[in-house]
Formats: sequence, structure tokens, C-alpha cells
Amino acid sequence: MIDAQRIDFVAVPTQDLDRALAFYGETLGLERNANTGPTWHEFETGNVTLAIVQPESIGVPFAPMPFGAIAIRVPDVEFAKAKLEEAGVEFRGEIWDSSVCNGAAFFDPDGNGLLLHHRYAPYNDGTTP
Amino acid sequence: MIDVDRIDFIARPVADLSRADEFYGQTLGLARNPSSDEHWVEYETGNLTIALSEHGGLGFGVPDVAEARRTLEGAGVEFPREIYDSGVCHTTGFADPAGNRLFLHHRYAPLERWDGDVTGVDRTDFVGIPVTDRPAGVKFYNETLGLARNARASDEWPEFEPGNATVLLNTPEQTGTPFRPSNYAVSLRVPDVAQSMQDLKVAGVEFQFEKPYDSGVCHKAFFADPDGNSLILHHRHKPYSDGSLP
Repeated sequence: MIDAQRIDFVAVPTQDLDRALAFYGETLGLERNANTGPTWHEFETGNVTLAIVQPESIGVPFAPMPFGAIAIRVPDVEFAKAKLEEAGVEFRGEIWDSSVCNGAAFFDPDGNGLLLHHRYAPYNDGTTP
Repeated sequence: MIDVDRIDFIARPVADLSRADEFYGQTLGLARNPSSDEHWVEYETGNLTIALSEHGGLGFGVPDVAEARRTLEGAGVEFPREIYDSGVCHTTGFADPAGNRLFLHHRYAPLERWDGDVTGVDRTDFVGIPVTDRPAGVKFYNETLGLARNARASDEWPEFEPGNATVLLNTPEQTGTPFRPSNYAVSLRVPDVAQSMQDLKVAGVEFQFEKPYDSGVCHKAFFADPDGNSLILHHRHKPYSDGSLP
């Protein structure tokens, strides 16, 4: 057993760095980690850092992240989905309601699987994650 | 008589706009409308807009500014200036008999929601990792890696908490997608990469390289879970150029 303290970053692969930077920075509106670049680019989602990586530059074949790899919390899934669709983002299916949360699955320009997510119901003990 | 729909804004006269801006935004913590500029700053209170500007006043929302103005002019009200078109609204200023400033106002552009960032992302709720064998996945993340399970999460959607975010295991049946492991890594912070690497090797985990990789700013060791999802043991040993550490 190891002493894992936190997730330092989740690597997000891209085949087009500029396009990915525009998507995460402008379309999704995430804050850029000003301490990163020009060879390593990070965006902050509040608690987790997303690192935009170019796998082919280090000899790893590109393949997009699987479906639902990163679920980002938004205050209003419907609103965020409409904003992203306006920006040309592709969604898979409609907004789901699991009876505790809403979500919608979409893809970044490289086909990485992302989710918009909003949990509206507390856990059984009354707390919220 | 004019047709007033509502009060669109209350303008507060402020001598020092940037100080007022700081007070309403930072001290009171109201949501600032990003269309604000150096002469006119708007804050939302939920039901009413507060505008900060050199001159104060009360903005009546009317369906048609020009028509309402003609009506009032017919009743003897004077308007010192032409109707102003801001690009999203029409406004025209006047005063009541006591000299209190008033405006007729109509926003003709659709109201945009602008609270927060573009999409309002405020955190990552979970990082999803696909597994073909859920019990094996739970055993690996819980026992081998030692990540705490979220006791409130259901057994069908097991969650683990490595400190700052949730890792969720899902199966192809649950997501309705063909199984494909993640080639790219969730990076786990450990105090000592070499030591953790050693511990995992004892538990039967194989690593891509024999020794930790040193990028010059961090140590890394590359491995995968039983389904082939990439993981990294990670420890940044060098601060950023500004002296801070992430």
C-alpha cells in the first residue's frame, strides 16, 4: 500500500495543442495555471488539475480518453450544455437524471470523454459531496 | 401615463468608481455583470440590478423608450439628451419635480446568463475509470493503492477518495460503451516515488521503467491498473519559478 495524498493531475491527450488550449481555456472557461507552459499546460477545475499532453510527442500513440473520464461540476447542466452546443460541442444523448444528479456526456475536439455533472440530492446522511 | 414593467436598475452615484466597485464586489460579494465598463458597473442582487456610476437614478423598464418619452414629453416632462443606444438597450434620462434622476430603459438584446465562467465549472466531481471486473478494480484501488472508499457511494458505482477528488469505477455495461482503458494517466501524489514504487512491486504491480523518471521538476513512475488504465506515481520536487509548489 502506498501513501497517495491527492490526484496531482489528470492527463488529457491532444493531437492539436492550440485547439485543445482554446477548448479548455475559452470554450469551457477553465483557469490556466500561470506557472505552466510552454511545454506543459495545465488547467484548474477547482480541485483537480487537467494537464494537456501531446502523446505522440513522447512516442505514445494517441487514443482519446474513454467515455465519462472527467466529470466537471456545473451549477446548471442544461445551461452549460446549451452554451457548449452553441460553441459547436458534440454531446452524446440527452441530459440524464439519475434521481440524485443530472449529467450530460460530451467530447472535447480530440474525442476525449467528458461529463457535465450536477448532483442535486444529498447523500442519505444529509451531506453533499 | 406610461407602461412601467418593473424597475430595471437602481443607479448609485459614486465619486470613486473603482473604490465602489471593490466594495460592492469584494466587501459585499455581489455578482458583477461582465458587461460593466469604466463608467458604468452593474451588480446583481438576485432580483434587482445595482448600477454604479457618476450619476445615480432609478431605471424604469418600459416596452418602448421612444414611445414612453413622447408620452411624458406630452405631459411636460423635459429630456435633456437624446435617447442613448448602448448596443443592448435604449435609455433616456429625466428628473422628477424634486430633481431626482430617473431613466426610461429597455433592454432589447436577450439577457445573457453570465454568472461565473463560460460554463460555470467549479470542480471535478469525479474521474471515471473503466473496469471490466468491478470487484478486481475495487480490490486494486482500495487495497493495493490504499485509496479510501467513499462509504456513502453505492457498491454499483464504487468511489475512492485520494484527497482532493473522487475516482469512480464504471463498467462498459453501465456506460453503454465498448471497453477501452485510458492510455493517459491519473497522477497520484506520493511523498516518495521510489518507495511507493517498491511497495507496489511487492504487491505484484509492474512498472513501465525500472526506476523513477526524473523530469527535472518531478519524479514519476508509470504503471497501470489490472484493466490497463494508465496511472502515475508523482512527486514534484522542484518549486515553480515563483517559489510556490502546487
